[in-house]
Amino acid sequence: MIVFGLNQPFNLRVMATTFKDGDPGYAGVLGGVALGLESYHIFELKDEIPEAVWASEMAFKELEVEADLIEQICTTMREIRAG
Amino acid sequence: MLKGKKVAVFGERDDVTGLAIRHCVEAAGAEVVYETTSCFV
Repeated sequence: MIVFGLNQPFNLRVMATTFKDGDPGYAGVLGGVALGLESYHIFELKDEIPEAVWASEMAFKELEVEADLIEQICTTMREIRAG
Repeated sequence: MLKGKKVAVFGERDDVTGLAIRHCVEAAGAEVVYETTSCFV
């Protein structure tokens, strides 16, 4: 599986789609090559990470990002996995 | 969900770095097979 740390929904969509279905722009070597890999953003995996590790590695980063953007990121990733 | 999974990590320099993600997923039992931190600016 793939885990991203990028907080830009548009770029996340392109990258996650590339790993799943191949490069959507047919510009790179993965154009038309469906690897079928599932992608997640690290914010989606919060419940999987031990609390102390999340607090030391991620809590500050999480505070820097607006809740709306986190929701948008998570929605984008879910759409790509479902599609 | 992460336990025993092989994970490729793509971090971002100004958002969440690859190293921070590595620490998180390894603590959850995943094996990191690739890690990088890029800058998309």
